[in-house]
Amino acid sequence: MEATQGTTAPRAPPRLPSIEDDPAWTLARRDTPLLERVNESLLTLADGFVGTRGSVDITRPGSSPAVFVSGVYTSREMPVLLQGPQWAVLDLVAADSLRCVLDMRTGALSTEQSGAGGTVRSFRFVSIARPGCTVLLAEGPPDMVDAGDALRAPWAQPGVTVRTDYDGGLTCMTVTGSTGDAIVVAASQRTIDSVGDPPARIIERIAAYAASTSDPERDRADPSAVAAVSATAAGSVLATAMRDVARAADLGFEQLWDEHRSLWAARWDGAAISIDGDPAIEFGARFATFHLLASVGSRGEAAVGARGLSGSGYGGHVFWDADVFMLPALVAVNPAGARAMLEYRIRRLDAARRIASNHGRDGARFPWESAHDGDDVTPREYRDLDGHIVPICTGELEEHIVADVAWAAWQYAEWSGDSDFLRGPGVRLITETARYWESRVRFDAAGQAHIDNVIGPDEYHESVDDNAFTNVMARWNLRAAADLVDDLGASAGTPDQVNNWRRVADTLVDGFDPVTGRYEQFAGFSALEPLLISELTDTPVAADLLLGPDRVKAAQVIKQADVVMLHHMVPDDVEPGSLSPNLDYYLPRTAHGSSLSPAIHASLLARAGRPDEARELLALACRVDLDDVTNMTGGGLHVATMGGVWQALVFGFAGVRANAGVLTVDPSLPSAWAQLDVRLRYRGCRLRLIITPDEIDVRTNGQILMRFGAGPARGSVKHTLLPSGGVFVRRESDWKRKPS
Amino acid sequence: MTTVLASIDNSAACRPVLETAQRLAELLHASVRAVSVREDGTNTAVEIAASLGLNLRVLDGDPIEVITAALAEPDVLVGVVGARGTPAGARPAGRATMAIAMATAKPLVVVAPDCRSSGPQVGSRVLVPMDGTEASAQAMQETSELLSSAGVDLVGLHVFDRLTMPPFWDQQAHAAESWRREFGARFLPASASPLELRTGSPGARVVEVAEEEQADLIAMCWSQDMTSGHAKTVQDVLDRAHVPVLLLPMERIVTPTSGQADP
Repeated sequence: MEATQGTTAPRAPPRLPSIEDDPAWTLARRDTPLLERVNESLLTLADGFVGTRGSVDITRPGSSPAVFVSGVYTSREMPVLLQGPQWAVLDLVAADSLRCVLDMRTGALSTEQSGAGGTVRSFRFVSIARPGCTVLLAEGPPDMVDAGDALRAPWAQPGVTVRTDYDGGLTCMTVTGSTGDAIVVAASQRTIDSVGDPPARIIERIAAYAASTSDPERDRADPSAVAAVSATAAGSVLATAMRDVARAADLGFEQLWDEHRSLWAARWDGAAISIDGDPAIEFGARFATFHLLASVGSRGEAAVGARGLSGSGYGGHVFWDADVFMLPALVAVNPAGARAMLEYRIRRLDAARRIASNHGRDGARFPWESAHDGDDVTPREYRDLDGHIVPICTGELEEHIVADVAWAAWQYAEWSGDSDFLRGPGVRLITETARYWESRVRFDAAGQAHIDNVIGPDEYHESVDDNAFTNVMARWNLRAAADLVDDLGASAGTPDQVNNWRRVADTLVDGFDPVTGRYEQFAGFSALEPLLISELTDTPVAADLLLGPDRVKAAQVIKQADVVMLHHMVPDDVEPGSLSPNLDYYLPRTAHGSSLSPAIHASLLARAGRPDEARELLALACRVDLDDVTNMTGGGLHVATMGGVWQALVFGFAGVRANAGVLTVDPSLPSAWAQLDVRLRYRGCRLRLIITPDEIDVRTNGQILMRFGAGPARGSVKHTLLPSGGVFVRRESDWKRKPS
Repeated sequence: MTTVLASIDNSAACRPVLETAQRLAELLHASVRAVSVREDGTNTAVEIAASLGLNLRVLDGDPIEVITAALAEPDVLVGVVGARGTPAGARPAGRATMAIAMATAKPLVVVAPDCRSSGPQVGSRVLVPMDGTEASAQAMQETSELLSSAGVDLVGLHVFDRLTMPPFWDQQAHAAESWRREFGARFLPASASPLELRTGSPGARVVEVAEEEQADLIAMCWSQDMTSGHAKTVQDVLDRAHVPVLLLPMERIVTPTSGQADP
């Protein structure tokens, strides 16, 4: 007997796929009641557009099921990712045991719930072949499992309305936030009861998610029309979702599953990282890459919040995490995703111009935290751990994000070779941000340019002047804009502008001391209380909580990579040979109080020729979510940390750098690693680097200009790699091509 | 009928003990059984009990053994004792009080002679310090169950001390919110107020927050082990608190939930 909602062509019952029991590629739910929410974050499935937490039995204590759609928030003032309808809930008789396994190889979640009456198995995925399409297949004894409603309303959210309709056999649900932005879903479902011995029930459920979001600029122009426009738009989006789900349902589970897993196989073929000799790091890298790939969509714009699509922690706000920590990985494994991340910034360029103007500046100032409309949504105050209400200054002062966005655009252009982007929106991002810095600096009587009153990446020190990171990134931004305008010609900027950008860049102080080889983190840092964090406690530690805000402000204790972040991001724009002296000085002063810190330091230690120390910090970064080190993974995954893990492996240990059309590889492997195998894309070519302590085996499907080793960028030997690839062998400090 | 056992001495400090017992009895729909072990007379105790409408039962024997036995009676739900005879008395509490607290399997409320809240206020707003262990979660649960019918306002408190500082605290406002939310999901009943977070010495912070939050009772789970280095927070709180302190013996806890996040 078959009961069908929304499909037209009865087919043979689909068979539940099985997941290969491979501990290197699977992650099982931990049966620890207090970790229910952590499990749900770790087992999140996403296609870059829709993210579904790995909730299986929502009746369990602590369960926090949620489905998110990228870029759809609850409200304007205090935006938080809107929770959409739930598509994976079944009505089950209480089970005695629950087993749940995430398969990273195929992006699927398999569950098994057993009780006295038998076992209910289910299998679900969020199709990366059809973003927005979710698929669930379940089977079990009819007296243990019932399909119930195909869609369930999300948990209550303030100011959010839920509407359910039934149309053409489909269940449709619209969840609308106070802005009028909505998540719209149409779902089909069929239940097949067999009368065999024992009888079995099979449930196939397919849903299509869509977002109905407003145009922030249009809404600003005519706020009175927002409600009417939103309602019309939601209706139109629903019609699309209904068509999409009907098409998907016609294909059926097995075809949807085939196309989904084929695409995951292709993704891994271009992104897998394996490490011979270090299964723990290899698993961490795989877990990180899986969630990076899953968190970023490839179409339109991708608003990638601090927890991706795995939780509502940090409101789903977009920070520099996206531009500096995630995007560099995406440009090399999913360039379309990186482009979509930049599209998010491009579509908010007008908002950034307005913010700059409101601050009395030219150009564009991207906000520290943003959501849908591009305004700054950084909280203004919070209740600190002494119970006092204190202001939050990052929104006002953490301006380096302006240059970070420009840097991300440059990274994308360099890795992808997308000249259309660079000539179009890319140049706008890079020049408008340069115009901001041009208007932001203060000149002193000696003609030196300064940037006063900022917060650098080390947020323990607020309202500082001439933060080296901010100034050098601003300098990089100004010079990049000037170079770009020179390359592209007059349409991108005037000669006067270009000259002035270079003049400002050349006069911006950066705090470098040629005697010590160090940059001063900001004016006056050297005069603060000398304090090595190891004298106080082990790291990582939230030193601001340990010492209190006043003490950390007065001491040389820093939260995360600040000066040395320059050596990670713009190594050609810092003094040659300055990595080691700065690392030696700043690392012992670094508390790693940000989860972003360990991976970046791992990368830098590897670059500094200290790969075994680097491995220890990388191991920590790999376990941030897997071990719930923060006790906050329940609120979502630290996807920027995952980007840092990927960067440490590829940029740090493999020593990969892209610059001006040349890819440099300069490996530095820990003693325990027999081989590091990474797969990338550069300028449209697929590339695989199989690195051992003495050899680099390069395999590519196109023509890439490459350089090997740590030699000077200018004058060192460049090799043209053809699809035949090549093997390079270490000869003391150099790498020589091995005769084929 | 269940009973709140009030154990008093022959000092003026017995008044807040009896008032607290009466209030708890009201909240728990129980009766008060006031007892005193004869030591240096009973006049003051009898007089104060009578003024509160209570009949005092005077017992003979070793005070610790007698009161521990009285608490063990099946109908006794909770005991109430004085911390010390005078505000300047023994710290963290008198010898007999501490011995009873260590010996009894029943919840015990310790009342300081100068406590700010006693009588009608007690049990309206309860501060429950929580260290992220099964035991502290159980203290919250037991307190919640004990006082559930009274519309009590439960406030959870977690204090980060030198050894329990979180490793990462990314963006202050968001981190605090995320940490509170996750901790609350794991350990707080849905009815509790949002978790209070503090840093510093737990004992001192508990007392401070009790003042700030105008809590009229502090509920703590404890191991009943006073050997060196143990029960430091309980001792600090008993030493400084100006509100009654409900001590919940850890041995009572049998729920097999796990503790901190399992790596």
